[in-house]
Formats: sequence, C-alpha cells, structure tokens
Amino acid sequence: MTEITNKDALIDQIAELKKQNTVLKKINYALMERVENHGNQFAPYAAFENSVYLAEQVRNKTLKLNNTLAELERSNRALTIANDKANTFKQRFTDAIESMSEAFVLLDCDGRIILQNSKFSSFWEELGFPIDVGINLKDLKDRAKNRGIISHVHPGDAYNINPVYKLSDGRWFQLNERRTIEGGWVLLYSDITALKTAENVRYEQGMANKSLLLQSLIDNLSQGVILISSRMQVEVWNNRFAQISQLSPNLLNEKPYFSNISNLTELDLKPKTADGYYVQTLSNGTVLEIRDHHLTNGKLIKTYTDITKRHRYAESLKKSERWLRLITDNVPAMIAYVGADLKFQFTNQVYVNWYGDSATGLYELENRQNRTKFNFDKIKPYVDKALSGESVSFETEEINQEGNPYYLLKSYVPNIDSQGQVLGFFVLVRDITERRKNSLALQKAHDLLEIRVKERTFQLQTEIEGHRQAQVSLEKAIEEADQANMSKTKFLAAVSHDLLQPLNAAQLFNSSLSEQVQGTNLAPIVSSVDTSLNDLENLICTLVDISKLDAGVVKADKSPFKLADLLNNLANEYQQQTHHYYVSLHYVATDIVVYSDSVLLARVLRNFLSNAFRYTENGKVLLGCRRHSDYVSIEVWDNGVGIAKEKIKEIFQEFKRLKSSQTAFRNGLGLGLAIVDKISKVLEHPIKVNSVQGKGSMFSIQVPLGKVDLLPTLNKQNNQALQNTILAQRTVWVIDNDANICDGMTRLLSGWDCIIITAVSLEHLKQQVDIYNDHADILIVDYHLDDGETGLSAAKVINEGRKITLPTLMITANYSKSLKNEIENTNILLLNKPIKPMKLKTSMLYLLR
Amino acid sequence: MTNIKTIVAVSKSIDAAQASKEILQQLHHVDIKFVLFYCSAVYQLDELAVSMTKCFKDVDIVGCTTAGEITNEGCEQNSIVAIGFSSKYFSISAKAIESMGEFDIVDAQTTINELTEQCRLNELAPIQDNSFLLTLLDGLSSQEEQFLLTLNSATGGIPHFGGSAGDDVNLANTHVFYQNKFYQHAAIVIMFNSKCSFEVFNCNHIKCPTEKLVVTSADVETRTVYELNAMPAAIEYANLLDINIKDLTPEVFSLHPLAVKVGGQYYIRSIQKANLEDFSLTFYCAVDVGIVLTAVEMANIFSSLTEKLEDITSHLGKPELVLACDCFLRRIEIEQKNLSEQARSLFAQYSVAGFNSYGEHIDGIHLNQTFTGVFIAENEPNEEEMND
Repeated sequence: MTEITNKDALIDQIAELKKQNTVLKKINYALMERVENHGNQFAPYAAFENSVYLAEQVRNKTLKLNNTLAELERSNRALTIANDKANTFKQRFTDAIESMSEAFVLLDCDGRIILQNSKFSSFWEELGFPIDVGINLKDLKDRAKNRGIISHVHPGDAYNINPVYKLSDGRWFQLNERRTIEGGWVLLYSDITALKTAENVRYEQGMANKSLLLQSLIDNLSQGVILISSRMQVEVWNNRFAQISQLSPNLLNEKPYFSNISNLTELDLKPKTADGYYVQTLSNGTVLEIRDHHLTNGKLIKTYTDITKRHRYAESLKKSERWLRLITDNVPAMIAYVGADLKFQFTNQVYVNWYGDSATGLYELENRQNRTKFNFDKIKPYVDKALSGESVSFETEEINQEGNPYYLLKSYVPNIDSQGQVLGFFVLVRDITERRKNSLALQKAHDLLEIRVKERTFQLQTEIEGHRQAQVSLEKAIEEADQANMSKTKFLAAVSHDLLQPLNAAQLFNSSLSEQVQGTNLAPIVSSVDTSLNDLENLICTLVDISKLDAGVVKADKSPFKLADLLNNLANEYQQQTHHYYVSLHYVATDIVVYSDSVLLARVLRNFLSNAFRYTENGKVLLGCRRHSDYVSIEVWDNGVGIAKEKIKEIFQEFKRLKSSQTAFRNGLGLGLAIVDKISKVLEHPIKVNSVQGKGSMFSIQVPLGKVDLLPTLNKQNNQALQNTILAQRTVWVIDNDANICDGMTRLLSGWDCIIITAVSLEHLKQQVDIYNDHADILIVDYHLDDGETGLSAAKVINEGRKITLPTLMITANYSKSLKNEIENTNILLLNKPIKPMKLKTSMLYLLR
Repeated sequence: MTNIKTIVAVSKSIDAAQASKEILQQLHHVDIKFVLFYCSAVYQLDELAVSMTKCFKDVDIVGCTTAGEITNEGCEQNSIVAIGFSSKYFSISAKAIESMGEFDIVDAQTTINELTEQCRLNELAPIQDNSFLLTLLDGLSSQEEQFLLTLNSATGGIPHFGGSAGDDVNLANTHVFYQNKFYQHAAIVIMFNSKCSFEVFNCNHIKCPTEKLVVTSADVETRTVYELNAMPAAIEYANLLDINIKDLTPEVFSLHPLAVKVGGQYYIRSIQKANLEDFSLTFYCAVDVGIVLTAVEMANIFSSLTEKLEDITSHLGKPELVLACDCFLRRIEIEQKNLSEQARSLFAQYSVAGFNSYGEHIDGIHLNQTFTGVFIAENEPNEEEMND
C-alpha cells in the first residue's frame, strides 16, 4: 500500500512536477522572450521601461539639440526679416530714383555705371546710345561730344555752381554730383531748358521796358532836351524841344545835321565850348535858359528851360519893393529890419532921419560912435530876446540930435522862417514923449484916489468887526439858552419818575381812605383830593412826554396802515364823551391807507378832538379826511370859540392856554398842543390851524399816503384784534351793583359786538341765565356788591358749578394787599378802577387768548 | 486689488452654469490670465464647456475630468476646483494634442518650441530653470507611455509632471478641456514659466516586496494580463491575497498593488479591473509578457508624502500652492482606512489643490498609485538666487 501510496504519490509528484515544469517553462519562455525582445522600445511597456532608463540620458542629449534647434530657428527668422527689410529698402530706393524728375546714375570708382533710372537710360537711348550697366560714362560723354550732341559745357566750380551742359538741340542740363563712400559718383541731371528759356525772355523784356521808360522820362521833362552826336547830328530829342524849337518831329526823326536846322528856328542851337548857361528871349516873349552839357564821348546835350515866369516875378518884386519903400518912408514911425548878423537890411526914411545914415552898420553900433548918449548895452537884452524868437516892446529914453530927451517905444518882432530859425527882427520905434507926459499926470491922480479908498476900507473893516463880535455874543447867548433848555428837559425826565412814585402811593392811600370815609362828611373832601392827585398825575405824565419829545427819545415807527382802523376807534371813544361836553361828534369814514406811526398819530388826533370838545359848547365837532395828491389831511372842525389870529402861534407854546369855557378840562394844562407840535416834527407831518374867533377852528395834520400792497399782515392782525373780531359775538356776563356802570358796559361792549348780559347781583344774573350751564365766554364782576356780597364770592359760586372755569375779570378800586393775596390762587384777573376802554379790551383779549 | 499669485476656487454646485459663475466670482481678479480646472465627470460637459468659456473671456482655460477633486479642504467629489494664476508671476502656455496616437518626435519638438516661444513673450523669467511642464492626458487612451516617452525626448530637461483624467471610477468617459472644448483621446501640454521657486516631485508609499509574479501571457494593446506564473492572472492574484476572486474590487487593488522593479526602483502597476470571464486582469498602465510583477506591502500612506513636503519646505520655504495629481487608488485607500480627516489637514497645511488621477506622470514616466505634483513656494527667490 505504501508502495502504491508511494507510487501514487510519486505519480502525483511527477504530475505536480510536470505541471510545475510547464509553468516554469512557460515562465522561462516568457522571461527569455522578454530578454530577447527587450530592444523593441515601441512596445508600450518597453516604452515605460525605456523612459525610466533613458529619461536622464535622453534629456541631457536632447537638451543641447533642442537649444541648437531653437537657436537655428530664431536666426532663420531673423535672416528672413533682414532679407525682407533689404528687399523693401531696395524696392523703396528704386521707387525713389524712378519718381525723381532728374536723370539719375550711380557710378563706381572707375566711372562705370552701376545703377541708373529710366530717365537716364531713355535719354541716351533717344540720342542713339543704348546703355547698360558696366558702360563707362566718360566714354559715353566723349562719344556724344564727338558727335556734336553736347554743344557747350559750362564747367562748374568747387563751390556752388554746378556744371551745365548745352545740347545741340537747344536743351540745357544741370549736373548735381556727389561722391559715394566707395569712391564712385552719384550724378543727377536736371533738365533746366525751360528755366533757361524763361530767363532769356525775361532779360529781353527787361531791356525793352527800360528804353521805353527812358524815352517817356525824357518826354515828360519840362525842359527841352536834345542830344547831339560828335558829328553834330541830332540823335535824341524830346517833345518839349520840338515845341520850343517849333521844328517838326518828322524832320528831327531824320537825324538831321545841326547846321541844316539852325536856320529853321530862332532857337540858339550853337554849341558853346564850355559848360555854362545863358538866357535867350524869344520873339513871342518866352525867356529860355540854355545849358550845354559836354559828354566824355564827344556828345553834347543841350537843355532849354522856360524861365519866363521866374523872370516876370523878379520884375514885379522890384516894383513892389519900390511901393513898400514909398509907404514906409511916409509912416510917422521908425521902421527897420535887422539881420541876425545885426546889420540893417532895411531902414525907412524916418529912421534914417532920426539916427542918421546907418543902414549898413551893426545895429545902432555906429550910432553909438556918432552919438555919445546912445548906449547899446542898454538895448542888448532886448536884441538878444528878439533874436531868440521872442517879440519884445520896451520904452527907452534917448537924446535926439538937438540934445533934447525923448521917450521912445521900441518893438522888436523876430522874423522866423519855416524851420523855426530866427533870420532877423523887425524894428518899430515910436516917439511917445507926449503920451508919457500925459500918463504921468494920470498916475498922480490915481495915487490920490488909492489913498482915499484905503481910508474908507479901514473904516468899513472896523464896522464889520463890531458886527462880528455882536454875533459871537449872540451865539453864546443862544448856546446858553439851549443848554438851559436841555437841562430843563433832563431835569424833567429825571424828576418825573421820582415824582410819580410818591404820587402813586398817595393815590393808593387816598383810595383806601375814600372807602373808609364813605358815607361820612369827609367823603367829598377825599374825593376832591383824589381828583387833584389825578390832575397832578396827568400833569406829570404830560411833562414827561414833553421832556421825552425834547430829548429826542421818541422816534416815529412808520408803517402803512388803514386810516379807518384808527379813526373808527377814535370816533367811538369820543362818541362816549359827547354828552359831557354837550357837543355832537360827526365822523366821516374813509378807506385811505396812510404811512405813519399810528400811536403818535392817534395822540395828535386825540388832542385835536379833546381841544375841540373843550372849546365848543352846544356845538358840533367834525372828524374827517381830505385827500390830496400824495397826502391826506385829517381834519377836526368845530364851531366853538375859535382863536384870535394873533394868538394862533402862541397856542403851540408850552403852558399857553386860551381862556376857555367853563366846561374845559380841569387838567387842561395848556401842554396839549405843545406836544402836538413836537410830535408833528417827529412824524414830519405838518400841522395846520384855521380859526375865526367866535366862529370855530379847524386843526389838521397832513399824513403821506401809504401803499396798499405794503400793508403788513401783522399789522392787520393787530388791527383786527382791535377791531373786535376776537371779541365779536362773545358772550359777556357783567355783575355790578351800579346800574350806571352796567349801562356803560352794555354800551361799550356792544360797540365791540359782544353779547352782553348785565346784572346788579348774582341773584339778578341767575334770573336771566342758567349760571352753570349756559354758554358764556367771560365774566366781569365788580368787587364791591350790595349786601356784603363780593365779586369774588359771586365768581366762586358760578365757577364751582361749571365744568370749565369761566375766565373772570374783577374790577375794583380796592388796592389792598389782602385782596391781591385773596385772588392770588385763583385765575381771576384784577383790574383797578377807573377802567379805561382800551385797558378793558386788552384784559379781555388776554383772558380769551 | 490685492497682489496675488494664485487663487484656488471651488464650486460644489452641480449645475454647470451656476458652478461656472461661482468659479468666476472667486477668480475675478485683473491679474488672473490663466485658469486650470478639474471637474467631476458628473457635469454636463458640453454645458460646462459653454458656460466656462462664456465666463472666462480673456483668460486661457485648461482642465480635465477627475476621479475626485483635491482642495485644501480635503477631497471632494461632484465639484469643480479651479486654480487661477496671476500673469505677474506666471507666464503659461498650453497646447492640445488632439490625437495622442499620432504624436511623433517632431510634433514633440514643435510643441515644446511653441510653448517656449509663447512663454518667452511675457519676459517674466528665463525659460531654463524657471519652467515646468504639466501634462493632462486622457486616462483611458492606453497610450500614455508612448506619448510621454516621445514628449520627454523633446523637453530638454524641463521638469515635468502630470496626471491622466479620470471619471469617478466609471472607466468610460475621461476628457481633457482646452480653450472651449472637451476632448477624448487627447493630451494637453502646459508650460509654466514662473518667477516663483518651485520643485516638481513624486512619491509613493511602497514598503517592501513580498511575492514575485511573472507575466506569462498578456495583451499589450489592451493592457491585459492573462496569466501570471502561467496561471490565470485573476486566480493567481486572488490566491496570493487569499481571497475570493469575486472580491477583486478597486478597494482591494488599492491596498494590494503590484509593482515592477526598474533601475533598482519599484513602480506600481495598478490593476484597473479583474475580468471574470477569462480570469484576466486589466491594468492602468503598460504591461508585457515576461515582466516580473512584485506584490508589495504598503507603508503609511502619508508618511512618505509628509516627509517629502517637509523636505521641500525646508529649502523653499512655505508653499503658495502644491498642484497635485494624486492617484485615485490612494484616495480609495484613504477612504477605506478612514484617514480623510488626516488627508484634509495635510492638504490644508500645504495648500494642496489638484485631482485624483487615473495615472501620474513624472519626467516622462507613467506611474500608478503615486502622488506627483509641483511645490510652488510662497516667497519669490531673491536677486542673488535669480542671478545664479
């Protein structure tokens, strides 16, 4: 078994080994195959293997190769670019030489043609010399010369002039040449034939023009000219010569010999041996100046100048000089003309008679020698002045030939030519001996007069001084007066405040006193004291106003506003007072807008109205406006007592008051119109007064018109406030135990369009309205009510029952501190008596705000 | 406006127009002249192409689809991450190669020359030593190796890295975006010329080899391995891991990768899928018969990366930005091991932005399961360094 097993095992082993052998053989084969075919590097794996093995080697080897290749490529490119450039340049060069108008040729150092343009080659071709590169230009030229093609050569010089060739066919060529670096030549041939031809034509034309010009020049000469040849033959002549000689131009054109024509004219044609001139007078009166000019070549020019006019002028000059002398000799003055050399050039007979014959000497120099009394030095400054171009006159005393002194007035007037040069001076000497005597007498009389005038002037000056001193003292007096007035004003301003303080206290004491003495016999006295204190207060306030106006503290604050707003109020206010004065007030409404200060204006108008009321009894007062072109005159008329004419000025003075009626204000202090006057000055509104005693007065103020569009809205609002719009239709409850006051209130408040309910007590009010629920806007109570009731308690009762506290105004004459304390914690506004309408209104507005 | 070098923008809006608008708002700065974006494959790509183009009129835009987006807030999905570059610090040129298969060495040289010339125009810094290349390839083209090898022959030593576009493990729909269009089977080569200091780097976390497997049968074109050690490949791989063949999922692949050793270094060859009908394995990268695949044990996924970043920081200073291509299998590993929070903080620390790729590129090599990227320093090199 073991054998079998062994055998089996061996068989298995053999099989296994066989199998292994196969595997190993296969492996062996594969490996051998691999080894043998290792070189096949195109197989992918081999490629991989190679790349691993050879990576480094290949890299190094190829590196150099690649660099070389890249370098080669670059230099190839550079070469191509360079070639392209060279070709471009060559082409451009060819284009350039072809585009030239000149024939171009480039020669080597031996003179053989290297390059030419078509102009050059076609030129030679036309001449029958076909040329090509390599031909020597010199040979070519020699051949051309031999054949007579080049007819003339103007060789150039080394500087500027280039050689010029003239060809037999009349063409001209100019040569420009330049050495090349290699020793050859660049030659440029310009065809200048056209230029040459043009130059010739121009030269010929120039010559022709010149001779034409010359002939016309000669023809236009005013002289007659003739050119005679050395053979005494006429060569050139002009028109003037023909005129003068009266020879026919045709004859002259034939260039006749002189001898043949000399008999045909009276003109002297004979040549004179020497240059010079002579004068010939022709039969027709023409005077000629004839001149001979011998030329170097034996020719002769004769000129004939017509000097007839000049000749005649000289004649007439002589005649006029004779006239002049005749005149000057008969003038009763010495006249002379002295040249710049101080020699006399002219003296009239009078001069000669006076000084003797000195016509040729230095000015009066000889006189000095002749007459010892004459002093040249004395007149020298005047002579110098005259010679410097100045006219001079002077008087001098001389002794005449008889030895008597004479006074002479001498005038030297310089003779200045057109260049400003002094050629000499005219002398005019007059005998003024007689005149001088007269003038001396006159001088004496004059001197006397002067003394008298001086005396009188002194007297007058003394008088004026007196006046001036008087004026100075007057001014001083005025200044003092002004100062006094000023200190008065200052005093009033200072004192008024101090005065008012104790006065107000006195008023307060007095009012509490009046309550205490109520019902006793002292009451009337206290009342009088109260009145007096009020007057005093008014007086002081007025004084303060005046002092303010005087001190210039008050300034007008002008703005446009509706005059009606102001006048309506004033009319209302004064309507209330009419019954006090037994007058009736008429008011005419207006819609004018004025430009002014409404407060100051109101003050003036109040004054007018008060005065009118005061001085009118049982009469009428009228407030109205009169419109003028640029202002409105606000006028107050009355039919009262009037003012005497002589008093009208006085009434504007301080403390002046006219005797008034019995009903005049007690507090009328006579200051009203003084204030008016001052305000009118501040406002710059003129005041006017018209009055007839016993009939009545008219006071007016002139106010400038305002522009409607400048009417400020703010002002409007203010005016509206004053115009009751806020108070209008307001319900006002008034409790006052005085029925009169209730009446007054009713009237006043109705005027402001309020709905008013008045009551004498709280109970009375309750009867009229439901005090808790009825609508009301404002409550006005008097502090003192009947039966121990006070306004305060009444207000409390009403307000406690109302949802919203009624704005309350309490009127009282009680100034006590206790009352003030009592209402301190309430919303009640306290208003002291006496109530003024404006104050009441503003208080109500304040409560309703 | 403030002086900026780069701006990273993120939009989680799934609506193409809205997302574009949000990106524009974040990147709105006069200096921004170039935008690189990575978007999830869930977007309506035609709509996104239109709206991105509309939003960025005078700006060059380049991008690709991803298998996940990386922002300094960690890994995202179904989002767009976009990086704007200031023209004051970066001169950037890009070129699309529409057909990767026809890319030859002349094309490669022309491409590099064109990009170099374009970068030079801005005269920012010399090309040599101040430039790096970024490649974005269609991750399902199977032509990455040849393309990168060809390109690498022309790069002339310019540092290079890149990633292959992904599509959230759908393996069907990877795209790259250039100018105004999404392309398939296409590649984009981008040259960055910059005044900033930078370092291109790559790292994996292979710990040690375990088993060796020889590919005994394979299809090179489709990257399919039929046999490992003469056994059906999937079975052999499952046996090695001692698991059922049905459990061969990307999660398994990510944790148990296979690698090849070339030049003394291990390079992971990531398995894309196991084909159960013939027990073959399809890979994300080139395979061939006779190559030895080594099963490797993986170390901590962050330790080598952290080490690398610390090392670079030590000589370049703080990063302005780390532009990354991180293999999507690494993301899967992180998710499986619940290390997302750790990833987020690392990425935040180094301002990492990028995407999860289907393959990574470094200096012409196509790799799997690695982290490749460029570390762009915050500080500008001073004058002396510039002159060196």
